[in-house]
Amino acid sequence: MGIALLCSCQPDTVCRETMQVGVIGQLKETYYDTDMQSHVRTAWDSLTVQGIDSDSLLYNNSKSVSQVLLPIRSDMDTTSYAMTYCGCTDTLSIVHNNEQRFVSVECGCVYEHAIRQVLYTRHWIDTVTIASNEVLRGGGVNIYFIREAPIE
Amino acid sequence: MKRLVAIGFMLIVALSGWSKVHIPDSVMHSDGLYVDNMKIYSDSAIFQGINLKLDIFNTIFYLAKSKADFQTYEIALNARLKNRFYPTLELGYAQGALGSNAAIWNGHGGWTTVGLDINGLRKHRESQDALLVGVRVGTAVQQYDLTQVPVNDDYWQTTPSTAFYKQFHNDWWGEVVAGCQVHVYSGLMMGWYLRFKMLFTRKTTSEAPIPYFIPGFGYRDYTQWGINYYIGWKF
Repeated sequence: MGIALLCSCQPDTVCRETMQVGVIGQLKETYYDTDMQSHVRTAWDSLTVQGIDSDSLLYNNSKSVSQVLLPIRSDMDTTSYAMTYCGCTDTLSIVHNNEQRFVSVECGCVYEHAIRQVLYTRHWIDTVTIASNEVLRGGGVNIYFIREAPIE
Repeated sequence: MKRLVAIGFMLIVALSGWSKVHIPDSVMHSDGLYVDNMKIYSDSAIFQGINLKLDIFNTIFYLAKSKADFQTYEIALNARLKNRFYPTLELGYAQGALGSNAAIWNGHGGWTTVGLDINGLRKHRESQDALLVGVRVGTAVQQYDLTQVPVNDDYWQTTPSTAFYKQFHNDWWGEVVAGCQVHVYSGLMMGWYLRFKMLFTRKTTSEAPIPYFIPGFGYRDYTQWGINYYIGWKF
């Protein structure tokens, strides 16, 4: 039995690498306090996000969301999401390139992307700016959602 | 599987035991002493013959383990120098398919190792037995397909897996070996090796998928153990 164990030494195949790849978005919302002093809010206090053509929600009325991670389709060059914030829903479409990258035997492959263009409706979003168009494994912020909150 | 291992173990014990009880026939011819029809070289002779060995353990083991999906064959050639030093060349070939949790390797490749063994037994002119320790350097070249490689796409689930075809890879490793070879009858001999292998080509700068199985080394890991059970012939 010892001989059999010696000759069948197969390393463990547990993936221990970060495999999440997606567009990372952050909010920059300017709001005014009662003294009309402006402040910047960087977290959504309630956010719902769903990929268009997908049945499952990415964020479901999630609270205090500081960053969103939007996974990108590897079979198409445009990925769209419905994003609901403050009772309004905007559609965000990201036009991208896809590139397959082999990580390791244990982890398999990921698709990394390059953002070519961002299209969006303007119900709660004022502007979307691209900070980095490279969507990589373990990458940083790619886009900022710029918004000015209405004065209450 | 257990039965196969048990049969193999009994074979080793039985054949090793037979070699111990066998009493060799010594005959003096005009060109020297012969024991069991094998020429015995003088102590002063540097070159004292060649051993050709065939590994039967790994061939049978992998055939059984993979249900005949994978085959590996290995021969070894070593020269006897002053009945102390054994420069060794080993050649092998493997082909077939092996699965893991992550992907399926389907390929074929050859390997070779070169090295030197030292016989730790006291020199005895009529003894053909050897207790060996040595080192090896090995290299393998393979062509392979990696299929059913998982793709991390949990949300969209559009591409569950992918495949890479006709890839080439070369690996290098070192080995420390210990074993023995015993004379059975006439030129027939048998023996075994225990091997500790260290992979030199651990990291690769290539973005191509590296194979998780290396012919002659085993599953890709920093270190690996191996075992051989040989039958062979002395020349």
